[in-house]
This record gives sequence, C-alpha cells and structure tokens, in this order.
Amino acid sequence: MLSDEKITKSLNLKKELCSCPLVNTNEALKSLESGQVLEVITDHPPAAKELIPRFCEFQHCPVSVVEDAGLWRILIKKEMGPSLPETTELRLELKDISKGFTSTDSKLDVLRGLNIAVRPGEFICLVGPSGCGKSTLLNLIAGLETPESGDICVDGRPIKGPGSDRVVIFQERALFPWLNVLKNVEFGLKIKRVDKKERRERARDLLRMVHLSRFENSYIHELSGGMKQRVALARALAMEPKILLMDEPFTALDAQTRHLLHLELQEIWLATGKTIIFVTHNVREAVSLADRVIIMSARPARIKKEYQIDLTRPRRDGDRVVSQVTEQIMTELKSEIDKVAREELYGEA
Amino acid sequence: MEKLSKYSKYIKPVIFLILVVLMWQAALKLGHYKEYLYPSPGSVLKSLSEGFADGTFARGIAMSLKRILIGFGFSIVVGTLLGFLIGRVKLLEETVGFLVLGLQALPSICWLPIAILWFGLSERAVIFVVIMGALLSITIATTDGVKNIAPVYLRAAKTMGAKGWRLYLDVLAPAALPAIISGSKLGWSFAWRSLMAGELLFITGGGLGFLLQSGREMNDMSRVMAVMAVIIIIGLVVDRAVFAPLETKIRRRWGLA
Ligand SMILES: Nc1ncnc2c1ncn2[C@@H]1O[C@H](COP(=O)(O)OP(=O)(O)OP(=O)(O)O)[C@@H](O)[C@H]1O
Ligand SMILES: [Mg+2]
Repeated sequence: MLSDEKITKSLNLKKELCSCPLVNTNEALKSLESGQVLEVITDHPPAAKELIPRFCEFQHCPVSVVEDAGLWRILIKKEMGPSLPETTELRLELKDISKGFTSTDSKLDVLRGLNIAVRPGEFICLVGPSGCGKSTLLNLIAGLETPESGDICVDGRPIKGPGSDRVVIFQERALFPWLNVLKNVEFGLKIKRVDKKERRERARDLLRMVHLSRFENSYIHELSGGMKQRVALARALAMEPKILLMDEPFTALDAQTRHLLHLELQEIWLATGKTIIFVTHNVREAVSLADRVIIMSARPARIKKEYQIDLTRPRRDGDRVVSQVTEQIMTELKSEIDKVAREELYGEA
Repeated sequence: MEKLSKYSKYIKPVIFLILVVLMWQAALKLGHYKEYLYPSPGSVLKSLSEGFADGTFARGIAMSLKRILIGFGFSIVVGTLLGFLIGRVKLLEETVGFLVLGLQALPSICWLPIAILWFGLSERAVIFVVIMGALLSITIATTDGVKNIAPVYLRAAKTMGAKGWRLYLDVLAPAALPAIISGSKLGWSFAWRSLMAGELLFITGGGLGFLLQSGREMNDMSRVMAVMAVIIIIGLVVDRAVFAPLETKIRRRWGLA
C-alpha cells in the first residue's frame, strides 16, 4: 500500500482546471524518479475509476485510489521495473521503400528509398509538401498498396496486405452513411465475427471514450465534422490495432474543435498505448502532438529531416518554445514547398 | 400549420385542374360537339364510378398490377445483379455492358413481335415486354452506381478486413443503393408505359390497357377517358408516393443531397 509520507509531487486535476488527466499524469510521472510517489486529486469519476488506473497498469506503476466526498485521491508510485526497459524492438520499420505510379505514357516516382523506424507507442507526425506521397505512404503501411521495392515490417514481420493491426483514419469522409454511429463502430468487429453482444459492448465503450454515447443511434449526416472524426477514431480503435494511421484527420475542422480533438487524441493515445502515424499539413498541429516530427521532401520523397519534440504536454499554442520549434520546422518545410511550386509553375525538374 | 404547408404546394395545381374541367364543360355547352366523341366531365365521372361499382376497373387494375409486379420485380433482381457484374468485371463491361447500352435505345414495345413469336399470345409475352422496359435502365443505373462508389469506402472496409462477398454485401451494395433506387424509379415508369402498350396491342385477358381498347370497340368515349385517368393516377401515385420519398430519404442519408 502506498502511504502519505512518501509523496513527492502533487497534481490537482479538478475538472475546471484540466480536460486531459492522462496527459498531465503522464507528464508528472515523467519528471519523477523511480520509487517516488505522485499524488493526484481529481473530481472526475471516469479519470479516477477508469482512465488513470488503467494507464498506471499499462505503465506497470502501482496505484491506489481513495474516494472522499466526490473527490478522489490517487497515489501512483513510479516504477521502472524490469518490465519497462528501453526497448530496442521496433513496432514499425520501413526499409528502403520505393513506390511509383505508372500511367499510360509516363511514370511518376512518388517515394524513393524511404526509411523510417518507429518504436512502440511513439506518436509520429509526418509533414511534407502537397502531393509528395504522404497518403501513399500511409496506404503502403496499411497494405492497401504494395511498394515497388523495399520491406514493411510490423513487430519484425513483413506485412502481407491489409491487416487489422494497422487501421487508417482517412482524410476524406470514410464513415458509412448507411449505418448509424454504433453500427459504424461495430463494422470491423462484425467482419471479424465477434459475437453480437461483445461487439456492442466494445463499441459502446469506445463511444463513451470519444464522448459520443448520446449519439449512438444517429446517422452520419446528422453529425458535425468533429463528431464524425470521433466516430472514425472509435471505429478504428474497435479493431484494436497496434498502429493507427491518421491521414489529415482534423484538417476540415475549425480551430476550436481541432484543439479539443487534439486533447482527446492525446488522452486516447496514452490510455491505449497505440503507435500513431499522423499526417498533417499543419506544422503547429504536428508540434503540439508528436514525439517526433518527420519532414518529407518533395517528390520523389525521402526523409528530409526529423525533429524530436520533448516538450511537456499539453503543449500550448502561445508557448515560446513551441513557437520556436514550429518556426524552425516551417522554414525547413518551406524550402521543399518552394521546390514543388517552382516545378509546377515553371516545369523545372 | 405543419399539415397545411405540406399540402399547400398542391393548391395551385388543383385549382388549375378545376379550371380546366370547367372550361371543358363550357366548351361543350357553347360548341356543337358530338357527345359520343366529346364526353362531358360528368359522363367521364359517371363511367369512372360505374367502372369501379361493377368491379371491372378493380379487376383490370389487379391484372395490370400483377403483371407489372412480376415483370418489375424480376427486373430489379436481375438488373441489380447484372449491373453489379458489369460494374465490377471489366470484360463484362466491354461486352455485355455495351450490348445493354445499345438495346436501351430500342423502345421496349418493339419487343412485342418477338415476344409473341417466342411465347405466343400468352401472359409471358406481356411480362417479357415489361421486363425489357425496366431491366435495362435498372442495369445501367446500377452499373453507374457501382462504378461511382467513393473509393474511400472500399479502402476503409479493406483496412477493417472486409473482402469477398462481405465487401459486396456490406459495402458495395449499400453504397450503390441510391443509384439503384433512382434506376428503379426510372425503370418503373418505363415498365408502366410498356405494360400499357403491351396490353393495348396484344388483346387477351384483362388489364387496364385492354379496358382502354374495349372501350374504343364499344365506342364508349367516356369509358376510354375514365380508364386513362386511372392509368395516370396509378403511374403517378407509385412514382410520387413510393419512389420519390424513398429516393429523397436515401439521398439525404447518404449525404448526396
Ligand atoms: N492511384 C494513383 N494513381 C496514380 N497516381 C497517384 C495515385 N495515388 C497518388 N498518386 C500520385 O502520387 C502523388 C502522391 O500522392 P499522395 O496522395 O500520396 O500525396 P499527399 O502527400 O498525400 O498529398 P496531399 O498532401 O495533397 O494529401 C501525387 O502526385 C498523386 O497524383
Ligand atoms: Mg494526402
């Protein structure tokens, strides 16, 4: 049992102060040393009863929860047990990937000799000029396209076609309008022949996670853009993939909704431990979400540069360091975008 | 208020129709028209009520509806399947698809001579003509629908593990449904026209087209007009009350309207 006298750090997660309990807990835990104890006070039942305990179990940290008059006191001991070594294993590995598209009279080289390695649980953002092959890359990882040369390995095994360990959340509207919200989320489970009762339960859990329980019977055309992308997220998570591939999922949303979904996505990421590859045009978005931002060059695309982002979450737009990094990446990206523009306007190769 | 606004769009057409009938009556009063060629609205109405009272219209309607349900039902089933095959198999598109497009140019009643030679003066001949009226347009609409399915639906389904017949049943079919409904709506109007033409030309047992023809033979002009009214009303009611709302609802849900 964890006891009071050992508390090293205390965190107040009362509702009005915090909309992302896991992100904050995670940050606080990061700053502790092994053996030290974090105290979390919250008035948010799901966080206290479900999210934080599950997250701690996931991180192999002992936890105790005590309720007192609508307020929960959670003690978490940071532990770097043998179960959590710095893994050298890779979740996803792209080795020397090339891909082109042949039309009747010409060939378009899209990716050439691309290498990316992703650790389990990493949050990667891919940015690059329009048309450089970001969506193509996601389709390759998803197994919807096959590379001309090179290997794609998940947990060390080469992929063969689509698989439910990698699910895509598309740029466009990809929810099925003929099904209601609940049935959309259940779709993949139905294909997997999960029995009706279980899939309903899992779909409802996920809808609760994305705050859409009240809309389970709505049809897609009745939802707002933000709600649609939340359903898409729940539908993808239902497959219990190891890797979530997200292709500009929030581009069509207004800034406020996008910000909200950023917070939600980070919570879900921490709660589920998924590896995320997130494509975006928006450098600010990339910097506020990613562990690592990868810049792709103009076509034929390679990795131009990578940035490790070790800033505390949730990252705020106005924050000085966030702006600095954003600025840096934008400059880097702009030279590639200019290259594309020159090519398109003046036909320079 | 809600009810009122729902029906208010019918006010103008109804007033106009009443005016037409009044003008028709007035024209008959003023001119010297032969009553047996130019019946009055009153006598048409009388024929209408007589036709319904003695059961001849009901029998005719039942007969025509039976034929169209068989022919149209067959067309929907076969047309949808055929449309899917043509839409998904390149070779079929270039062969059968091409033939279907060509045959669509032929008014379906032109099939009647062949139908009579093949099936004799039988029920099957009329139904064949109905099928030729509806089948092709349903096939073509389904093919178009299948070919225009947003690729992202297929990719999404595939990343969730759908393949083979599940892909057809759970994704392709519902995604193509709006096109299939529109095709069926068009197919219905072709089928109804074909059936009336068929029943008119091919004189055996019953149907509204047959009543029309027998009215002419008895020189009963008001009877002819009464049957025409029934034909119009059935065609319109099915189109407006069945297909149009279905089409609107589905297009809205599918995000197409
Ligand atoms: N199926 C295809 N057939 C032929 N060319 C294709 C195909 N898919 C993509 N391309 C081409 O490959 C290039 C890369 O496309 P892709 O969609 O991957 O770019 P992107 O980086 O995602 O662009 P954006 O940022 O605009 O979404 C584009 O020039 C596109 O025209
Ligand atoms: Mg793209």
